[in-house]
Amino acid sequence: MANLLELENVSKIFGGGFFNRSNVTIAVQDVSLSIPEDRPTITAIAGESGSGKTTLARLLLGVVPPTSGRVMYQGAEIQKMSSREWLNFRREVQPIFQDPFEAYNPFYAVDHVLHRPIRNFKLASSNQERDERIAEALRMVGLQPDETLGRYPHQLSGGQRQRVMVARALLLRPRIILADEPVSMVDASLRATILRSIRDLNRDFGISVIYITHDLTTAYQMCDNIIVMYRGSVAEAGSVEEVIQNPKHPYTQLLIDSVPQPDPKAAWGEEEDESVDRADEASTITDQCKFASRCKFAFEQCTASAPPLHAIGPQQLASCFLYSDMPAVDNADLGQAFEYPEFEPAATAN
Amino acid sequence: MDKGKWQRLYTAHSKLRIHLRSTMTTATNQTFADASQSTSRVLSDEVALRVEDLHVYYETETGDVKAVNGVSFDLRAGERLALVGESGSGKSTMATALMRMTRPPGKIVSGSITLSGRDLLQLDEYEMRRARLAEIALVPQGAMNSLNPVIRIEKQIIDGILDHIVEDSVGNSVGSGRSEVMEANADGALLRKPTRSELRDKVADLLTNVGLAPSVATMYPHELSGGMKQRAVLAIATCLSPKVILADEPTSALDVVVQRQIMQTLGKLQSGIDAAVILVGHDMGLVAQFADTIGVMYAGRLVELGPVEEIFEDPQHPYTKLLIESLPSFSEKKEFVGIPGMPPRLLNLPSGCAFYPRCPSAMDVCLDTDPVDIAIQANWRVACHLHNETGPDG
Repeated sequence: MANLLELENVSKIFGGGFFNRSNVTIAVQDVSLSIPEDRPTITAIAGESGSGKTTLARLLLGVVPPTSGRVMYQGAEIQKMSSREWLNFRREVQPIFQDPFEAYNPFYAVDHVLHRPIRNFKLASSNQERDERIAEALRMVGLQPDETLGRYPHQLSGGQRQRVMVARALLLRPRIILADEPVSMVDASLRATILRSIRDLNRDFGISVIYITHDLTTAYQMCDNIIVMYRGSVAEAGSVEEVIQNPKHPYTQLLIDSVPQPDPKAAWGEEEDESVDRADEASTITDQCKFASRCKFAFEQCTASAPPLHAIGPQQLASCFLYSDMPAVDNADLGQAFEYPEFEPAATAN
Repeated sequence: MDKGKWQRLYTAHSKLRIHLRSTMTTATNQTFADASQSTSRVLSDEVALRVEDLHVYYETETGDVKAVNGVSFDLRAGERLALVGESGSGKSTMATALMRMTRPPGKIVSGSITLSGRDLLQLDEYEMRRARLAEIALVPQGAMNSLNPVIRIEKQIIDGILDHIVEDSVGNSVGSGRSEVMEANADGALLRKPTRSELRDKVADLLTNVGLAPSVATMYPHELSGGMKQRAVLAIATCLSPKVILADEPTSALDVVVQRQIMQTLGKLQSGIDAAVILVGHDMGLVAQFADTIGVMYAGRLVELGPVEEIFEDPQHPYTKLLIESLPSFSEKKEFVGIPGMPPRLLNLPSGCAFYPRCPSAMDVCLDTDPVDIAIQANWRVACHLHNETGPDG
């Protein structure tokens, strides 16, 4: 199966300027991931702040070059694309950003963000066709075109603004949507609506979605697969059912245990968590498990070498020495462990 | 500067950080040794804070925006009350009004806030300044930004304490703004101007209580992580043992692991000084795990107020019901259900129930009559016409 988007042993290191060569931050370390062309999925990239999930998204978008490894779109390396390929890439891979308040120029009506991409990519031959396409995209995300168009960003609520952003992404008929914390700035009641419209894009039009979040509950509700990152490395990856319901890596277990469940009878982390937050030193560690200093299961091996990914099951990988008896998969493409839902191409966006 | 000097500076700095982390771990161990579970808590009937018919409006050119529109509730001693609602429901306005920190164009129009026998709204500015921190303390939203970046943590904690020493006409200190309570607590340190070493001990105590190493006192905010900063803010908020701690989304910028640690620390502090907590937020998961009582705000009104477990089990107001149904959890995969429609604009709110346009069980009466509070049982009330006359099962 051909890969739409592919990461090949990608690492990204920030810092290390002229004066302090030792002071570097490893934002992403040795990640391989493929998003197949013919089987659209929703993949969550989860982790706490500083885990490298946003850097991974920026690598996938081609806005930062990897320090080592390759990022490829339809077999072509992003950094070496011709301007024509690059234009096509920028149409087919669409981001949705975290903050719908900052994504707009307050001096323009919201129409502006919808007109610009159509003009830039010459998607419509007449103004009438343009308006039809915009209206169609707005309806798909549950907005009424006549209530939305012509208004200024401050006249719309946060949820509406974010949905206009989803509509803008949709307008370009992308193959992949990269949503970086799309609902962290909106209310719980609007979250559902936005996430549903993003998921409908996947189910109805076969658009693959990469959903970056720190909220494991929405990741579980929405996604097929999940990658849990810790300080730039993949801690655990696999189908969302396996990883959330049966977490193997101690970090994933800690994360899931810490999520407050909306049920007063459910226990909220029975065990007291004594781990120290934010171990900045870990950002430069490469030769041991980064989680070892916080891990209650840590033993000698954890501080001696970095754990490889072990295949826990057909759809679950965990980077932890606790599972040394399971086969290690070096430089594993995380996509191999993913679950791909059945997709009926009833309505294609293209 | 030569390169060797830089190198030494860097080494010293990183050694300090490592030292800090190891000491912090031990402190945390002690603090969390006996954190109590919220489910097993028993509350007294003593009222710590009584809010009656509070109205807070924002005055605009086109009319008043009624952000808090007739809210009443009793907060019992030691109670954990959570105020939840969408953005624009008036919960943050409510929090600032309780501290009497409402700024123009906002205005507290009417009502009363009674704390230890005094109506906070009748106090003069000097008395109110005494009451803040000593009787009602605020843990602000985004602790990252609420500490002064150029002042050491120690100084920021001491500031509040020193400000509450009352001096008589000849300059002798005669007690803190809450002197009678201080005497009752036999906490003599604040009845007179504390000495330097007493203050240092106090700061060390406060920091240990929130799970930080005493050495944090001499650090600047940028040397601390987000979670540690939030802990430092908790230390400031509890330095004078207030009766009410007002926490406005205290963990909104933190990840789940740190969030849990902070909320456990807050719970521990609260039971330590026997304070009541008002938690303002929209994270229903956090509310379910932390609070005893939940107050649901909608369009400036408290539409439902009652015990957390019962409300999650059987919500009475249609809005509460939708709010709880829309929550994602790990237990089952379900379709995302949002609450249809938009929150109402608070400017020139029409008569009748504000939730009417979005309510799945709206009736004719809802259109023109304001719903009144109806008691479901003791400490549980709902403002909805569905419960008129028909009793709790209606």
